[in-house]
Amino acid sequence: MKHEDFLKQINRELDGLSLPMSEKLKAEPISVNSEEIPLRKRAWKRRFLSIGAGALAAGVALVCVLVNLPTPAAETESLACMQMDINPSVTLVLDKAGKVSRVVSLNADGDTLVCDEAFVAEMIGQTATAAAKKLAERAAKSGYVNLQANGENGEYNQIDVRFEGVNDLPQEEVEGVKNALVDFFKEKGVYVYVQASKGLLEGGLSTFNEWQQRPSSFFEYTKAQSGETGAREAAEGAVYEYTKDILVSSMEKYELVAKIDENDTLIEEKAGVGYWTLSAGQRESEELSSLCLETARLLETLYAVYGEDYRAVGSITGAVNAVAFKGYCSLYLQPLEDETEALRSYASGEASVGDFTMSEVIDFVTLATASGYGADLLEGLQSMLSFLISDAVTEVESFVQSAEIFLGDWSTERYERYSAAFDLEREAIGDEEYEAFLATIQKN
Amino acid sequence: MNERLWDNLMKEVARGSERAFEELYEGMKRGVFALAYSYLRNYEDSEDALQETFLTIKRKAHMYEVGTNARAWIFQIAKNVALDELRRRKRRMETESFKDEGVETPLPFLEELTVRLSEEEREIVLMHAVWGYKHKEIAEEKGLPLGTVTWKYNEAIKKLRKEQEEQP
Repeated sequence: MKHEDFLKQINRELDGLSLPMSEKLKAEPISVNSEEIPLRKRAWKRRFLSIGAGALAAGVALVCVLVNLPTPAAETESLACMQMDINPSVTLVLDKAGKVSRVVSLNADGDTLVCDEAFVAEMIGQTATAAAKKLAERAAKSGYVNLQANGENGEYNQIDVRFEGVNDLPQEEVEGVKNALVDFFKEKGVYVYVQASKGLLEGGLSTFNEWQQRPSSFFEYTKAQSGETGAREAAEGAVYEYTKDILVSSMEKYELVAKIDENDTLIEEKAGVGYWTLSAGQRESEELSSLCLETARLLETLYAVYGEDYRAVGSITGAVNAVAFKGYCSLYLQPLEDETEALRSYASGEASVGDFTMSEVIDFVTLATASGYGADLLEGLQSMLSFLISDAVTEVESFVQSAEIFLGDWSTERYERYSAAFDLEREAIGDEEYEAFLATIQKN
Repeated sequence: MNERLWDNLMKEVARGSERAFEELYEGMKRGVFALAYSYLRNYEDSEDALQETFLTIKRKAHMYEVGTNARAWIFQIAKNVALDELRRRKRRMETESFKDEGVETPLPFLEELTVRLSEEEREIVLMHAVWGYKHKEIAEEKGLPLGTVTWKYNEAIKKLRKEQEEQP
C-alpha cells in the first residue's frame, strides 16, 4: 500500500467520527482578557520572487480536453481529454456532461497536485472552463507565469488548450475555455496569449478507457510501465529539474543586483556621486535621466520580488542606502562571481546538473540560499543530489518516496512564495491594451 | 488552513467569540482526537481528552499570544491533556484494562499507527498526515534537522506498510 493510501485511510477513519461538542464544553464560558489583546510583533518576510524576469514565453500550456458528449444519433460515449501542460502537467478526463471526472498527472509537478486531495476534490465535477481557470490560477500562484512579461523583447506567456474527443466537439466549447482564460488573466493584469484547438482522440474509446485506468500519479504510472529503474529516473529527473530551477532563480537575482551596481558605478563616473546621493536636478538631467529611471525600476523590482528595499534617495537616506547596498553586494555578489559561469551554463542547460561534483553539491546550498530559498528546504535537496552523484541510491523506493515528499514540500513553498506576488493588485488589462499586446507578439 | 488563519481564528476566540470557537473545534477535533488516541488507545478516553483539551482552550484563551503559532499551542495542550490522563492511570494503579480488548476497533489504521510506531514517529506522522504540518514545519517545531524528520517519517511509513503487507 502506498504511503499516501495509508494516510488517506487514517484521515477517512477520522472523517467518519462524529465527535460532537459536549454540553459541558458548550456551556463553558471563554476566558477573555478585558484588555486589548496584545499583538506580538512578527517579522513577516516578503516572499516575492522573480518569476523568470529574463525568460521568454513562460508557461507554455497544452490543454487537451477529454470530453464525453452525447451524440444526437446514438448515446455512444464520446469522450475527450483536457491536457494542461502549463506545469504542472495534468490531463483532465471529462464525462458525458462535460464535467471533470478524473485528474491524471503527467509529470512530477503534476503529482504535487494529484496528491493534494483538496485540490483534486475542487476539480471533480467542474466544467472544462472552470477547471482550466483553476489550473491556470494554481500554476500562476506557483510561479509558472511571468507576471511582468507583456510582449516586449519577445517575452510573453502562452497557454495552449487542446480538446480531443471521440466525436467532433463544438467550437463554442473550445472558444469558451479560451475566452475564460484570457479574461481571467486580463482581470488580474497579466498578459497571457491563449491558443485553443480541437481534434479527434486517436484510438477513440479504447484510448479514453486507457486514461480511465491509468494511475493518477506520474510516479506510479512510470513505475508500472518501467519498473523501479523508470521510477528512479523519473525521480532523478525531477530532482535535477528543481535544482536547475533554483539556479536559474539565483542567476536572475545576481544579474539584477549586478546591473544596479553597474548603473551606480556609471552614474558616479559621470556625476562624481552615486545614484543614491544625486540631487533631484542631476537625476532629471539629460545625461543621467534614463540611467536613473532604469536604476529606479530595477530597485523597485528588487524590492517587489525579493523584499530588499534600497529605493530611497536623497542626501541622508540616500547616503545610508548607498552604503547599505554596497554592503549587500559584498555579501551577495562577490561570493557568486566565481560561480556565475557555472550558474549560467547549468541554468541555460548547456551543462547538466548531473555534472555537479561532490564539492559543487556542497557549494550549491550557498548559491541557492542567495536566491532566497530556505536553507532547510535545500538540505533535503542537497542530500538527494549527493546520493545521485555518488551513485549511492540503493533503496530506490525510499529515494522515490523522499523525492515525492520533497516535491510536495517544494510545491507548497513555491505556492506560498509566488501566490503573494500574484495576489498583488494590478490594473486590469483593457480590450485595447490586449489587442495591442497581440499585435506586438504578432498573434492578432 | 494555514498558520495565519488559525491564528486569526484563535484571536477571535480570545475575544470571546463562540462562533470562532465552534469553527476552531470543528477544524481541529480530528487532529486532537488522533493525537489523544495515539497515547490512550481507548476511544472513550480519547473523546474525553478531546473535550478536556477544548475546555482548557476556553479557560486559557486569554493567555494566547496573538501572532504566535495557534496550531502548535493547541497541539501542546492536547498532548499535555493526554499525558496527564496517562499519569492519572498510573497513579490509580488500575487493574482494569483501558484497551478496548476483544472489541473490534473502529479505527484500525490509527490503531496500527499507535501500536507499531515509537512516540516520536507517531507524532511526526500525525503532524504531517492529520495536522497538516509540512516536514519543514515539523523540523522547526521539534528542533530537528529536516533530513532527520524526513528519514523518520519514511521509516515510520515503511513499518506501517510492512505490517499491512504481512496481514492476511
